[in-house]
Amino acid sequence: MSFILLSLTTFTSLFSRLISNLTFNNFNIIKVIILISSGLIALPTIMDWSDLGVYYLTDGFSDVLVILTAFLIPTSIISNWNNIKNNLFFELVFNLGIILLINFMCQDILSFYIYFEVSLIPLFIMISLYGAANRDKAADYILIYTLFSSLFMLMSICIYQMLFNSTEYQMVNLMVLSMDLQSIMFMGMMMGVAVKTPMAPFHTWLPVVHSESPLAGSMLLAGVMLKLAIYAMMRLMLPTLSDASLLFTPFIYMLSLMTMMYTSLMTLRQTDLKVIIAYSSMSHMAVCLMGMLSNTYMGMNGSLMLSLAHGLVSPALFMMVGGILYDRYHNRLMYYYQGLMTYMPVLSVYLMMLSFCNVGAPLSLNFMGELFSMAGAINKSPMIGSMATMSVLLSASYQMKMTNRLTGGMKSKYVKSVADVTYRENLLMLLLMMPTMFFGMYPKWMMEMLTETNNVLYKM
Amino acid sequence: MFTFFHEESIHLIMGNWFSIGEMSVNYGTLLDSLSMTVIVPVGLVTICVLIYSLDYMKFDPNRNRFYIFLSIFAIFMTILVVSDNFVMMFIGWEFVGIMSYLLMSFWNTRMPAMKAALSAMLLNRFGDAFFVMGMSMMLSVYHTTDFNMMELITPNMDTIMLNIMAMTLLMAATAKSAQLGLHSWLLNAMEGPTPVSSLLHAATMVCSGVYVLVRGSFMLEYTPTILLVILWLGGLTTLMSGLIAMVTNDIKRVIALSTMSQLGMMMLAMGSSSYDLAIYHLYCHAFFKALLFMSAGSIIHSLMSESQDFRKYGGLIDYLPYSYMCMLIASLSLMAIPGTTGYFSKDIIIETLYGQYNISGYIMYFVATASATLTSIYSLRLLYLTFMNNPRINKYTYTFVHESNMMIMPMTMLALYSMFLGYYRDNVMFHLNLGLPHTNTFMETEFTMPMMIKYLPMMLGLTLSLTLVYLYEMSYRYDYKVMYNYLNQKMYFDQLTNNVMMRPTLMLAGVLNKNMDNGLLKTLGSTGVSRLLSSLPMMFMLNLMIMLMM
Repeated sequence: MSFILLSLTTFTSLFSRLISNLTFNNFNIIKVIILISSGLIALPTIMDWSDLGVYYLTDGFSDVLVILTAFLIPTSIISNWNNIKNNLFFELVFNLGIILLINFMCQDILSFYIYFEVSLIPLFIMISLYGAANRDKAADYILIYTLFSSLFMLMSICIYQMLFNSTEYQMVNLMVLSMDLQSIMFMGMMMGVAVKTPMAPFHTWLPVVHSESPLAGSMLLAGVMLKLAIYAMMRLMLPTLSDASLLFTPFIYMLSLMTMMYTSLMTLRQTDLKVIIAYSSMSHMAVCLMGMLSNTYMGMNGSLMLSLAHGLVSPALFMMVGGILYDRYHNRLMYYYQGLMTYMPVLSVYLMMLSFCNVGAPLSLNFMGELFSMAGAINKSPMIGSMATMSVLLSASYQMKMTNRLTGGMKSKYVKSVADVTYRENLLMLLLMMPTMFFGMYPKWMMEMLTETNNVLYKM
Repeated sequence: MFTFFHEESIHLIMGNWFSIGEMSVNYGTLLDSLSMTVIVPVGLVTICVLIYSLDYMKFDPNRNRFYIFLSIFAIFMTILVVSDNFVMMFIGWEFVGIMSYLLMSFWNTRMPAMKAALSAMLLNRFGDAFFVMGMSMMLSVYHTTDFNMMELITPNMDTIMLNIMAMTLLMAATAKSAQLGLHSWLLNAMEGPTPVSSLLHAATMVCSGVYVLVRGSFMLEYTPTILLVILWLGGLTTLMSGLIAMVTNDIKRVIALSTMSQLGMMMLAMGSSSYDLAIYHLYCHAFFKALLFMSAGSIIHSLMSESQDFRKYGGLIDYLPYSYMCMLIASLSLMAIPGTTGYFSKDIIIETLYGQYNISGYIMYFVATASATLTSIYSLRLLYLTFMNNPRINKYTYTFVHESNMMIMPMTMLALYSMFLGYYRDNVMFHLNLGLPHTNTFMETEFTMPMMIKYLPMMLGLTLSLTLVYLYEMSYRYDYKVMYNYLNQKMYFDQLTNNVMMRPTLMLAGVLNKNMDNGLLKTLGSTGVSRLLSSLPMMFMLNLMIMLMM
């Protein structure tokens, strides 16, 4: 079945290029073909299969993230529909999507690691070819930071391989390791997760990468790739290194709290719109991590819900500032814009709705996720958890400051007025906003998917 | 017809919002005497304000957006009031804050309005953070947020957790109801259109903090420490806002300050465990305060400059007689003149403070009396400077001053309420938590109050407001410099928060951004590694040279 996915991507590339040649370089056809196949790649995820002794299947955890990924790939392709006219770019997004999908499906730690790393390749090429001014730096940052940190992860995986001669989840989960070994392996794994999440001292790559990468890259990076860290925590660390995770929870809680406060403070002083959204992702991911480590059913569910919510809202905000506004003005500075309400009212409405979603207003999925994560965190550690609830205030401070600045005031006469949101952008905004609102009001379907969270609890 | 009869409370569950583990949160409505009392001013004032704003916003190009926002606000206020659990209440709680942000920033090309909206949003968010903290604690301690269920569990609850949860609710209410410390947004909120001030910042939204505390009264009754905090917080707020209102010159800000003062009164009532009195004052206050704002709006609207500084009004009684009448009725009600609505709701709160017969109660009785006196003084000052004083505007402006029939209609309705609503108090009292020992002090008050104490607030209010006449007519001078400046600058509270909290935080963020994010972490991370790599060959060379030289 992996072969089918491989041939699908090869066939899509070849076929689209062929058709494009036949129709005298009609580029639109390429985009349409890739868009259609990007929808089709979700189909194999319905099935379970095994290749080379590795099982590919999904359960409730992965389902949520697989759906998110399958949803975000076409969305991110549409997001760069007009501003990049190149075959390779769309193929890269498409392949990145396939890798991420498989990443959530494979049932083997080593394969997880491989896909985790392989996903950097398309992103690296994408950023270094289609990024903004500082693209070389950004591409190097993401590659070196995540690759280097994941080597520690690889070390832990090597220990598994050495001990059990297997790295399958099912196999590994049955084993009980000594506390010392668990601690060492936990630290190794945590290095990879902490950089990918990212946690406070290791986060410097994210703002640079987000601000320089093309829109689809930002969307997939914020929407899906950051969730890989949460997924890795839940899949690789909680079930097998359970004692160590319990032992290290206070440490990681402090780190998360620090991340949350530190990045929120940083965000208050940023001027680049994409950097602001990037920092806000860090702060939300820290809350996710707290929920995940709370060892409560509610906290873990909340963490996954917040992951999903953030995976929808953050790409939409990137689309807003890096797509809609950037396409029109080619500027990412917050102070460049003012008075959008007067001449781009629809955009302002979207911006406000998304901002309120991002700060966790009720009836959005973000609220659910945040509330449950906080409740879990408070259950685990009342003091740190209570301090973490201050993220509600902090996230509002930077997000509302930005929204307020953008929507308020008179239209500057030095800025030419442009068309409001187009049909394509409307579609994208609605695609990303509808699920957020729907699951916020009626989260039942999603919560039913997440009932297996119970199995990861450490029952004393 | 207007006698008390018992009504069964109705608990409707419309559907399940989410259920997680053994916890289940419903979309439910709890129609008990508490929510049914509060829904009355919400509905009536909303409809009045909508009619009022039909005329007030007649020539605004975006008036449709305004009416839509007002209506959405009404929806979420209703959700806040009728919800049956704290999480659902938070929907309303958060969204009335959001709608307040949107309505205050309605004139979005004005920077002061945008800034005021942001300030209100963030201070409200401060309270929301505590509300979320409280809800998280309820979810992890109570495993439910349903009011009825929680009420049953509370007597068996851990006292420390109960205290913390009550504290978080109090913080949330402090932000929303503009109590001392988190109040500065309410004064800035006066940048918004007057119907917004009338509906949100007088009658409904600012009262939601009080409402939430009354909803959580079953918890507060088991946390006497928090009740004491509420009592003192309310006392300080009511006194401070009264003092500031004495020397404030913006007509809407004076009314906002008096709202704050009355909210402080409600807090005082809650602090003395008289939740019904707090809610009754909320109920009555909504009408006359909305009317005050509407009359002020009528004045502002009819002036060409739309000035809000009432030192510049003067002599408007001949031009706006109906607005004067409405404002006079509302002010008399606010001053608790016997026979008006405000008397029935406010005076009994002050009496009950004394009727607690404990030291905090005595102190707060005098604080509240002082505040009531101040209320009389600044209300009369407002009336005097606006309507009686020598005309201060140019003659041309006076030629355009007019009443508006459309705006008069809702004002008339509210004026009737401001006069007569208070009589039917017994119909509204609902004896919340009456089974608990401290909640029936008002009965004791009824029978043991010395005559002097009972009439003191009224006598002081009436006599001391005469000093105003003396001050303005006989010895008018502006050289109470220090005190005047201190109060006129709102006790330098904005400056205090800015200089102690906001600026240092932003400075810290800036320093961290410069030295940490783009300094230390880069040096230890990317830049440092690249430097190391590029200087490695050099180090080898040096090493080689040294070795060769040896």
